[in-house]
Amino acid sequence: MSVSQHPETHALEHAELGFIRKYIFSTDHKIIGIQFLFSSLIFLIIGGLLALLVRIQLGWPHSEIPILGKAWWAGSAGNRMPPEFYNMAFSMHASVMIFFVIIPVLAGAFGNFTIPLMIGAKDMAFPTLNMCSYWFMWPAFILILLSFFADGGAAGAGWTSYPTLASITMAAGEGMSSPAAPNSGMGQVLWLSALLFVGVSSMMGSVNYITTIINMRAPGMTLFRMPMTTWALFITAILQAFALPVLTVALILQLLDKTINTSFFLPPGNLLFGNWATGPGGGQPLLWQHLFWFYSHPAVYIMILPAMGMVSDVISTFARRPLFGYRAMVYSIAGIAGLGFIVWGHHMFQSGMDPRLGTGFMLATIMIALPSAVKVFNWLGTLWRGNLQFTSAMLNALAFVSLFVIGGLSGIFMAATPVDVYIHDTYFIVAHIHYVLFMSSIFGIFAGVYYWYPKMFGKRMNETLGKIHFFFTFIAANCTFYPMHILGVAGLRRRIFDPSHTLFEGHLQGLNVFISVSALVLGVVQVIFFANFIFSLFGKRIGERNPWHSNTLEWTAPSPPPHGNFDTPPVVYRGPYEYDLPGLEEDYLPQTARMPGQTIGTVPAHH
Amino acid sequence: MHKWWSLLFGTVMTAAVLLFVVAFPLGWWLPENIAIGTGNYGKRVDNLFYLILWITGFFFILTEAIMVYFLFVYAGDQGNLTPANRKYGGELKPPSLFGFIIRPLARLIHDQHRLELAWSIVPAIILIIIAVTQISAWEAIKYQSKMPSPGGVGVQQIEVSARQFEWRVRYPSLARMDDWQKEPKYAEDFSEVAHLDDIRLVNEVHTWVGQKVLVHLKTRDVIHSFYLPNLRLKQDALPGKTIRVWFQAEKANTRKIGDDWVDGDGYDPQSGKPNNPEKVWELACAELCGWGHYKMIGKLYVHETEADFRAWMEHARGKQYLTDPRKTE
Amino acid sequence: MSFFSLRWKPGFRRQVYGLPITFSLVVLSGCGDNEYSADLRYPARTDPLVPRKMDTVPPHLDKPGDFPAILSKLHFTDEELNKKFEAEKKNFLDPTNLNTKTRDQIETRLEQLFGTPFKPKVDIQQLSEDVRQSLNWDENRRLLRLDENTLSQGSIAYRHHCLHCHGLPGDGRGPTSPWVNPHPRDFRLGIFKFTSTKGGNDRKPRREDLLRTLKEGIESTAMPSFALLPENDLQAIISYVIHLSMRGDLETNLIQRLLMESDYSLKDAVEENIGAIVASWINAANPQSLIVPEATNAVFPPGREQRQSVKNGFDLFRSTKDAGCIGCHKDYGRQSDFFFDAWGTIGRAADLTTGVYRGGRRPIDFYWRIHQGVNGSNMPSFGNLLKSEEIWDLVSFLQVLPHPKMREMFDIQFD
Repeated sequence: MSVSQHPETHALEHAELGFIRKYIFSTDHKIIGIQFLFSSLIFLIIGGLLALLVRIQLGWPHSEIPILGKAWWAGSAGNRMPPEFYNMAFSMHASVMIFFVIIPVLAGAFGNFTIPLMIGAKDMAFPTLNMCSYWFMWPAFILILLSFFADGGAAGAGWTSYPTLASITMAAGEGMSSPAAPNSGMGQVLWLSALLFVGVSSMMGSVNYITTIINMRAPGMTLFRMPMTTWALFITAILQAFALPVLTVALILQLLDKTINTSFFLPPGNLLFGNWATGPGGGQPLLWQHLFWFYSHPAVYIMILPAMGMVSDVISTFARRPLFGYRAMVYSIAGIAGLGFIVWGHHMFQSGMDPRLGTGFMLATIMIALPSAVKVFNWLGTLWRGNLQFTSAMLNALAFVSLFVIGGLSGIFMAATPVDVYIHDTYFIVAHIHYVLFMSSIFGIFAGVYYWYPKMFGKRMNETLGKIHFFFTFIAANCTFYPMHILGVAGLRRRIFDPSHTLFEGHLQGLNVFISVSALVLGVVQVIFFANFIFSLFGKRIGERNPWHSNTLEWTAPSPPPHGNFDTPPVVYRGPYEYDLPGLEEDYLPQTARMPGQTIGTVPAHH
Repeated sequence: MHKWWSLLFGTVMTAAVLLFVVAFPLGWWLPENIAIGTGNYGKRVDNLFYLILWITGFFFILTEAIMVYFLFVYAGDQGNLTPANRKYGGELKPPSLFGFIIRPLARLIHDQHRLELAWSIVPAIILIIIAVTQISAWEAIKYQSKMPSPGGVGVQQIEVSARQFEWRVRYPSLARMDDWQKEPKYAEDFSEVAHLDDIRLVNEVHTWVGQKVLVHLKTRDVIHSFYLPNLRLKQDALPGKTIRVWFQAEKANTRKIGDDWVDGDGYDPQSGKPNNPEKVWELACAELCGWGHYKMIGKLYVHETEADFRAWMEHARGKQYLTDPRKTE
Repeated sequence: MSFFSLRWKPGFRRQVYGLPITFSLVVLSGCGDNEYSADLRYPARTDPLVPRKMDTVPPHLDKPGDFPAILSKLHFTDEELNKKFEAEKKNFLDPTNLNTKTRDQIETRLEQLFGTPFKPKVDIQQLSEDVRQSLNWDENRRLLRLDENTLSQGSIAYRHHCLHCHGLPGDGRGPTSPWVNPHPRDFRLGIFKFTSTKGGNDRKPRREDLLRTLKEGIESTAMPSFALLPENDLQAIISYVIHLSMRGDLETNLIQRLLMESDYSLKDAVEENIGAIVASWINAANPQSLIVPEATNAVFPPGREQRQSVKNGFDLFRSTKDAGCIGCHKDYGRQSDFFFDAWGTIGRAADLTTGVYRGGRRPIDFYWRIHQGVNGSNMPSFGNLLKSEEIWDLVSFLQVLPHPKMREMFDIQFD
């Protein structure tokens, strides 16, 4: 790969920027990354509270919710949560977590913060575009928060928003309310619009990341000397660039269906909703599913690959060992991403899609298990013969590995189409989702936060609180989501307001109560993390450059790095995983440390 | 002391395994599978499920055990960053208990390339085996070419029209079913043309033991999903399309008690609970269809013999064409 | 950095462990079970009383979300129509025009008679001896199954299954109600559409009628089938609905009388009205009230032997005198006009070509609707105009109407 030139974009000294240009409308990738982090943490709270509402209803389906029952549902509602509200709660929980928490944190926060630092660049290739990518999230924030106050409530057709439930509208001139569901009126329109902005923001970001990584690496930083975090974010950016346009199209089509009565997703023949009738159209509900899942399957890899990359770096650093099988890890990530584009139909096995397509998608889906398995084995290999340091970051990263195994293995059940006939739309799927999203992505996020906090803010988070938070989160999360596998095997369906309504699901209520209690505990325990995060911001600034004795480039910069990142432009002599080399005093050898006689080209990457 | 972290991981993972072990005796497991075994997909779904369960269970235990072991053995002095290679001096030092397993693998492990290859190829083979063995089961469930055809002899046709929030079921009358036996081609328009003498019920699917049932699945408004847990059957209903689904039950749950045919061996008049809950087989909607999705429940009634089914249908017909309110109510 | 080297401060562990547990317990302790909470009261009526027959002919239905403010939010593009509508709205009676003291008195009295959602009752005992005698209450209470046990059970079942549509006091204004059309039934007028009993506008349904609605649902509306509920739950719900209807009916009548005649005494009002209300329910339960067709030779489904019957029905349907169904069911129901029904919601004469029947599809259900009309809507009763055989002829025709092949067979021509 080419040796990058340092573009002389600004003079070394320039006028001091005001507070607004420095911290609000900043073009500095680090500030933008932190902005993404803060906004996402706020939405994490919102998404978590929505989840608790769901679990409270599921655990005690017939009880009056204390305080909220009287506050929100007095009068004719009899203090009881209406089923439409429940539908809104789980739909918005998923939408907020996916589009406003995980993707912005992984791609937006960590992507922005770490990429230039880890490749030795001064900033991103397009700093102003970068700033736009953050500020384009704000219309999305406003729209999604407004949607909670829309007439009929926020979107309630699932985060998957399938037509015709989500997209049906009254006839031309009669407004946007939906005869199919109250939440599919203005709430759905706002949801669609908010996601459009999120998509545009992500696309801007991905253009930036790809360009920066290809063009702006420091001298000596070949592609195969980049840390896994950067590789993962690079491949994630490619995924976003290719998949998001399809989602954008799908959202626009549904928006048109809702607002100007097109019929992209409205089938021929009238649809009857009591006295209200809609249609006929000339479209196909299945079209939405194809377009949506074409994006949303790569989206789930967007939500896990950066976490995998970060976890690789964290484990390598704290095991004090080189990453086992660096090249295999890179190829696995590429393989997961590539295969990820041809498996979207596995969300649609039961949808009425031609079953022959199902066979094809099944074969591709089963193969995706392979690179994931390779990665798990490589992480275990990294631990082998290590000198494991159990910091908060390491613990969260280890949790990622062990719990991702569960999430990945449960995926094999769903990939097998005959088994999927049974477990589709049951709690088995919910268990799988949360093992790969909560237990993997979010633990990966925690690991990343504890790991890069000193670099971001020049202070450390409290290690003891970090460990307490980890301990309880690990237990509570497993108590919450593991029994869902059993619920799914027993046949409990997803998205059910009252599981005690049937015999085949009603007898599982004990498990539901256990899960709900664990979920409440899990929610409360996160207070520790937030308290730690916020109070540490006001702690004493230590400013240590490399608290974890890690190899990668960002640890050579000051903490926090100034505008321009490095004291002098870095030069890279080796790969990022030179830990535990025999014959050295220290157990690590940074990428920029020049050994006598070393030039940037000669040392092959350690693999 | 930091070795205790491995205990945390080990405990949680052990609890996970134990949960699966105790789930079955506690009744938190697959509902009874009443689908006919031979020539039908029903039992194959379960077999495939168990195959995958054992394989993934094995790899789960293996991987987590290795991880817990590593966390225990390789836990370092916290804060002591002496390079690990000085500790181990180039020699593998596992506790001797595992030596007899690990030493033969040592040659494999030392050669990193070979190891990578091994743990890529072995899972790949296992996955391919899982993939290939299941294709015919999938075909049996969903491929229209493998389903009983409407005009086929010995096929019972039903139309299920899903709507928010119930299942409207239409059966051909006995007279028409008999006609079809003589002239199978007349059976083909059942899904498109509703006849006056069709029997219409709500939330009840009736058939009899061993009979192949072909369901024409429709929906009047949004996407619903026809889910029969005991038959391991699920199919989304798409607005604008009629989708075919089929099944065949091998056990009965319905008999005549008093005036009416009931499942579950009858219901207790006080509590309303079935006397035998094992014999209540439910039909549930499995795709979010609105606020009433949770209550979109029906029941599957399997009569013991065709004669019993016919008797029930006569009874249902009588109720449908009631003209004297003093008779049944 | 070691986890266990931390010296635990004495209260620290308790706080750390205790916090999640306490929180959960707080949440759990507030949770009641299946019943309404004991302090919950039926809300007082605030929506306006609508005259039974409104003249305005609405040109279209209300939109999702308009109800229950339908009468205030509804606005037509035709200015003439709007003026007429606004003029008619002036006739509505607004309960909030009563002074607070009167309204409180009404609610207190209702609570004394009908209890709370948690402890519902129909306490006729506390009324005067005359009323109890005239109702023959000691015998008839068993007939209506309005004992406290059944009502409590009904309250629980109603809360699970019916509340979010039909609302706490049975006002049809639950949170789901604006989003379904037809809107859920408001029980407070004491009017039920699908009845099998003789009588005028104040007739009540039998328990069996309500049971039919619960078991079969009302096809093409949001009222689903509840056939899978246990039988005694269904009976309890019926009792509870009757209770809500009685309560709402009394409340409506009281508000109306007191608004129209300000010096009317509450006590007199109660005694007068409650007697009539309960009597009408008792009457409906009387087997004498059941409409039994006189003609007994009707055959369903109609076969070739019933050609004449079907033809007669066709003629009756289209005639401009006698039945004259086609006058309202324009083009066999495909182009019927809208109207405001007794509840102030918008309906129209049914489309009879779809094969979907809200009031039941059995021939006897058709018979009842034609014979006695559909209470609350514009469907009048034809029991005095038509002979029993003629009604059966109409029913035969209506059964054939939705099926093109059958129409061919019976020579029914229309485009």
